[in-house]
Amino acid sequence: MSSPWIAEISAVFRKEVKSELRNKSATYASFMLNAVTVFTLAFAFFGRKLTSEAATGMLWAALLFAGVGTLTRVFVSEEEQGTADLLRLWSRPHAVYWGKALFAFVLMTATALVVALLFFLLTGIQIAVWQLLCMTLVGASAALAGTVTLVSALIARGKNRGTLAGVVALPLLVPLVALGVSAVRVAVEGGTNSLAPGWSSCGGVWLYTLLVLATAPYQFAVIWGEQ
Amino acid sequence: MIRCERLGKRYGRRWLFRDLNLYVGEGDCLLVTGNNGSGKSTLLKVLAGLIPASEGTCERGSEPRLSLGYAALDQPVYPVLTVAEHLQLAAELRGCPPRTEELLDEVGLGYAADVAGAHLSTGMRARLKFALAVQAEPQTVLLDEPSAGLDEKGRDIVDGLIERRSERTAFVIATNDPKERKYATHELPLDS
Repeated sequence: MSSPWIAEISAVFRKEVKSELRNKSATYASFMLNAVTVFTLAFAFFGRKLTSEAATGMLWAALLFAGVGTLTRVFVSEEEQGTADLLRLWSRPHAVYWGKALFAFVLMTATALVVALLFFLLTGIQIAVWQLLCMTLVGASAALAGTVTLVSALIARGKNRGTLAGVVALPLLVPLVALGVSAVRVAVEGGTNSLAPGWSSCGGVWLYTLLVLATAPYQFAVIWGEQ
Repeated sequence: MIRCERLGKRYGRRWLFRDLNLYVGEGDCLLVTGNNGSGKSTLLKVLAGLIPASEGTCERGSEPRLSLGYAALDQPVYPVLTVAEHLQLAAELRGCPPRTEELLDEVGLGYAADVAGAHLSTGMRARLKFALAVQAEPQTVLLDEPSAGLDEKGRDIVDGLIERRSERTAFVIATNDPKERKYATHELPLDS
């Protein structure tokens, strides 16, 4: 990718960071919502032994809730402020997509790591293979960022955006969730069985991520141009 | 330069304009006039590529982000970015020099470089949008109600901005203000 593209993507990314840092209420609200979700799940199972299957299922439910809730803001806030047209006038669609998706990735990775750490800490579950857990969470964060950025652009001008985000995003994320649950379960259970299925599921998560990031910018350019 | 053929826009069954053929080139100033709701602002948005036409074609050049400037009364700016940061961001995205000091002096906003968008008055926001519209010295500038919300000094700034570029730039101005007829080389009245 040539330097004008990098400069454009970096400009969109830095604009997002500045907006987020100066408008702290949205970040705090999102952080509190994610923390409350994890605390609720942890309290529901307080003092009981959680199976690895139930734990991974709940962790993924929390991650999806956090991802869809937090990341849909990337375009919705732009439309609510009426500033999306400024980006349309000044920038190329691919630069807007990559800048926004990069910001969403950073936000989602931080959210996923905090949510996962809090969840495992509060439920007392031991992680057997940390590398597998981290690789899966980072890959899943990239896939969530890529998918939800696209969905956010699609729903930004619609009514009932919150409901719409879940309805549009969740079917797209089913393969990611299936692969991610399988990888995280092996990361929790560890070496009682072979680790190979866990690593191949993690590979599947990354393959899904590559597919999303290879196709989403082109779909975004159509959506962005037609609105 | 902007060239449109058989351009039309409708909302539901109502056509705002239809079969519009227009060419605006270097040194032209097209004044789009009409009553409220006649489609002036919509036409400018279609010309800027911000909303799609219902029919027809519109050529804006290969790099519209450099060859086209647009400023509209109803266009918001980023509430958390300062005036200078808006110019910096637009320049980085367009790949042109920011010319922050020069442009802010031209629109009389030099004193407000560090003021956030949320704290700008209507007139200050309008001046910032003029600066953003001409930043890359585009071939075509689209101005929607350029004098609305401006005081006498603000109107002088718009006059200067247009006059300095009138020979090398094409302007399309949507307005109801008879004073702006002085810029016009052509007029397009839209009926509601």
